[in-house]
Amino acid sequence: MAGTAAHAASDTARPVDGGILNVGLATDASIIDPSITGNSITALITRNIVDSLVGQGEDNKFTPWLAESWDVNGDNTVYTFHLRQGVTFSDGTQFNAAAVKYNFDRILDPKTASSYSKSLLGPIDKIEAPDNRTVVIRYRQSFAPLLQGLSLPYLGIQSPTYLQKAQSTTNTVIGSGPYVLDNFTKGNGSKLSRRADYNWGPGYAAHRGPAHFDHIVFKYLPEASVRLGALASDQLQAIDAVPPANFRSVQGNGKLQVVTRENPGVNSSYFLNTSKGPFQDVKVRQAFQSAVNGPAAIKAAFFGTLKSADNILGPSTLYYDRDIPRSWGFDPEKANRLLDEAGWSQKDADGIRKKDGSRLTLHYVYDSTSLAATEVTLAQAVQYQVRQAGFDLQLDPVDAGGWTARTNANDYDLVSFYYVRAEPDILRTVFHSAYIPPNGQNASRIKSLDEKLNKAVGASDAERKKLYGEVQKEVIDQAYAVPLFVAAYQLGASKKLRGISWATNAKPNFYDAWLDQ
Amino acid sequence: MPGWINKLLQSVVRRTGVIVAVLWGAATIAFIAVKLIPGDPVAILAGGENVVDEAERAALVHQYGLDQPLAPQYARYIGRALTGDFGESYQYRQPVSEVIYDAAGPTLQLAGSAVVLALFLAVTIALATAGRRRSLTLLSSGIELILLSTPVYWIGIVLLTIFSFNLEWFPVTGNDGPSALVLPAIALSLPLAALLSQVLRDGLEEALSQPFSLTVRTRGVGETVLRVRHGLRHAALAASTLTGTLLASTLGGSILTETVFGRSGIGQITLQAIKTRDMPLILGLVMLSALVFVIVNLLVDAFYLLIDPRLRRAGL
Repeated sequence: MAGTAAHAASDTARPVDGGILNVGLATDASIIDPSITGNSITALITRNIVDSLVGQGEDNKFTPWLAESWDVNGDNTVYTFHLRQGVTFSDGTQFNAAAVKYNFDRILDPKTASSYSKSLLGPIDKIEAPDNRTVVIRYRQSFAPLLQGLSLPYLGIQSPTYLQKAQSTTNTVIGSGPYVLDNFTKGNGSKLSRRADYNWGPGYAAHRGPAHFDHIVFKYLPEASVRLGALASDQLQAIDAVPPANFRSVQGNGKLQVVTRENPGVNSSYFLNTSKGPFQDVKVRQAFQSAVNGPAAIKAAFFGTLKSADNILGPSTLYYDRDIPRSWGFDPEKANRLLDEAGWSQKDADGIRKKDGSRLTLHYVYDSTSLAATEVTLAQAVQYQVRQAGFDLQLDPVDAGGWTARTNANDYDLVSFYYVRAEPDILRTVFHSAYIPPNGQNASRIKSLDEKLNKAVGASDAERKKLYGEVQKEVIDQAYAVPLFVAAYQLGASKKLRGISWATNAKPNFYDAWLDQ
Repeated sequence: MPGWINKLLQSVVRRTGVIVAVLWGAATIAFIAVKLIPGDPVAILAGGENVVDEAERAALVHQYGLDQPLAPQYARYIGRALTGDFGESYQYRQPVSEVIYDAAGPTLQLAGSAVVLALFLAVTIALATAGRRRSLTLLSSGIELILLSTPVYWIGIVLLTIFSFNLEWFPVTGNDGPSALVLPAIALSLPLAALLSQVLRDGLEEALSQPFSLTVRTRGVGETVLRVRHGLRHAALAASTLTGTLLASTLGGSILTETVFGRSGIGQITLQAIKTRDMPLILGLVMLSALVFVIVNLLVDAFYLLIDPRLRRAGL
C-alpha cells in the first residue's frame, strides 16, 4: 500500500471513485442558503451543491458552466446568457431561463433580506427570460464586476420549485450541483451525497461527469487541537485554519500536508481613521505607515507562515499594481521627520510625542472574540515598533457588539480587517463613502475615491486597470491604510487527498477531489 | 372542603405566582441587559460582509421593529413571550423557538447522560469510601479535588487524545450515535461526580456516626444494607439540593463540552448568540434557563417530601 501511495505522488495517478471525505471546519455556518448570507463557510459547503452561471478558474479567466456562452455590450449594461440544456436540479426540476430569473428576482426582493448576494448583482434594472435558454440582465448604469459575482456560490442557482415551496431556506438548499445536501445541523456540520447523473461541471474542472466521493461530511470543530488530532488519526482527511504554531507538526508528519492559498482582495490592513484625532493629518498617517516594520512583525507573529503585504490588494487580485510595493515601507527616519514637521516635535519622559500638551495616543479597537491570538501578537509587535517613533498605540479589545458600536460611533483611530474577492471592485466596499460605518466598512472614512470607484465599476478593461491603479496608489500615498499581511486559506490534509482545486475566493473545491487508496 | 385540599390549592397558587414572577423578572432583566450592551442588530442581520446602504438599513430596522421606542418594543416582546414566541433569530433567520427546539435534543441527551453517570459514580464512590480506612478516603477526595479544579475543556481534550486519537475507540465528533456520546458525557460528568460524592460522603459519615446507626447495627443488620437503606436517605437531602443547582450549571458545562467535541446543542447556540448579539435568541435562551431553574427547584422540593416523611407532615 505504501508503495502505491509513493508512486501516486505524481499527478498522473488515476482518480479513485467512492469513499467519504471528512472535512473539519473551524467556523460554523448559521444559514445554509448562500443567497441570504455572506458567510464564507456557507459558500465553501454550498459550492458542492449549487452550480453557477459562469465559472472562474484559478487564472481568473471565466469559463462556461450553466451558461454555455454570453455576450456583453460595449458599456457593460446588457448581459445576455445562453444557457446549457438538459440540466436538472436534484428535485427533478428543469433548469432554464425562468429558474435563473426567479433566483435573481428573489435576491433583489427586499423581503428576502439578502445583502451580500444583492450587492454582487449590482444596480440591476431588469431581468428578462425571452426564451427557455436565454437570460438578459439589464443595468441602470454600467456594471463590469457581474461575471465575477456570478461565479461565486452566493449567486448559485437553486431549484425554483423548492424556493417557492420552502417555508424557510435557512437549513436546506436544493441546487443542480455534483452533491446533494442530506442534512445540515447548526453547530455540527453538513452531510452531502453524490449525484450519479451529474454531467455539467464548470469549464475549469479537471474531469467531466459525477464527482469522485460518494459523500462529503463537513464537521464543525472549533478547537484547533481537536481538528489536528482528528486529522492525524485519520478521522478527518482535511481541516481548515491550521494554526501557525502547529504548521511544523503537521508538515513533520509524513502522512500530512499543508496547502496554503493566498486570499485575493483587500489584504489584512490597519485602516486609519482620517476623520478625527491625529490621523486627520496626512503626515501623521504617513509617519505611522513608515514606523511599522510589517515584514518583521509578521514573521514574528505567524512563524513565517504568511506573507507580509506590500499593497492594499493581494497579489492574486485582478489589476493588482506591481509598482506600489516600491513606494512605501519601513523607514524610521522618515517617520521621525514627518512627525517633527507635523508639529509633534516634543517628547515626554516616556518617549511619547506631544503637541499642545496632548500625547500622541491612538486607539486600535479590535474584536477579541474574532481576532486570532496571533493577530493580537502582531498588534503588540506593531505597538512596540511605532513606540520607537513616539506613538502611544493603545490596544482596545472589545466584543463583537462593542466593535460595531465603536466603529458606528466613530470612536477609534484604527481598526483592522480583510476582504476576500478576486474582483478589485471590492475596493468600493472598503473605500466608498456610501459604506462609511454604520453602512459598511469604510473605516478610513474617506470620500475622495468615490468618483474613481464609481467610474471603474462600469469602465472598459484598460480603463479599469488604470483607475484601480490610481486608487491603490492613493490609498498608500495618502496612508489611508497600512497593509499588513496577505491572509490565506490554510488547508491541512492527508497526503492521500488529491485533485483539490481552488476557487478564486481561495476556498478548496472538492468536485475533482479523490482519496488515493 | 377538607383542610388539606385548601392547603394544596393555596400552595399551587403560591407556586404558580412565583414561577410567573421569576419568568417575568428574567425576561425583563434580559431585555434591559440586551438593550444596554452595545451592538448593531443590522450588522448581524446583514451577515459576514455587512454591506448595506441607507435604504436597506432602514428597511431592515423597520422589518424587525427596531425603529420603535423602547416601551412598545418591550410590551410587544413580553406579550409575544407569553405565548412562547420570541421572534426570529437575527443570525439564523429562523423563529427562536425552532432554533432552541432543534438544539435542545442533543443537549438533553448529553446533560441527561452526564447527570445520570455522575449520580451513579458519586453514589458508588461515596458508599464505598465513607467511614472506611483513612487512606482510602484521602485518596478519593484527592482525586475529587483534582477533577473539581480541572476545566471541563481540558478534561475533554485529554479524553479525546487518549481514547479517540490514540486508541481510536470513539469518534471525535458530533451527533453520530451513541459511541460519539460516550466521551462528552464522561467529560461533563466527572466534575459533577466529584462534587456530589464529596457531599454524599460527608452526609453518610455523619449518618453512620449517629445513635440510630448503632441501633440498626445492634439489630444485626449488615453494614452494606445500613449504608444503602438508612445512611443514603440522610445524605440524599443535601445532595439533592446540590443536584438541582448542578443541573442548572450543566448548561455552562455543555457550552465547553459541545465546543470541544463539535456537538450541536444549546451550549453552541448560546455561545453564538452571545458572540453575535443575537438579541431574540439570547432572550429566548434566558427564558429557557429560568424555566429549567424553576422546574428543577420544584422537582427538588418534591423529592424532599419523598425522602423525608417528616416534611410531609409539616405541611406543603
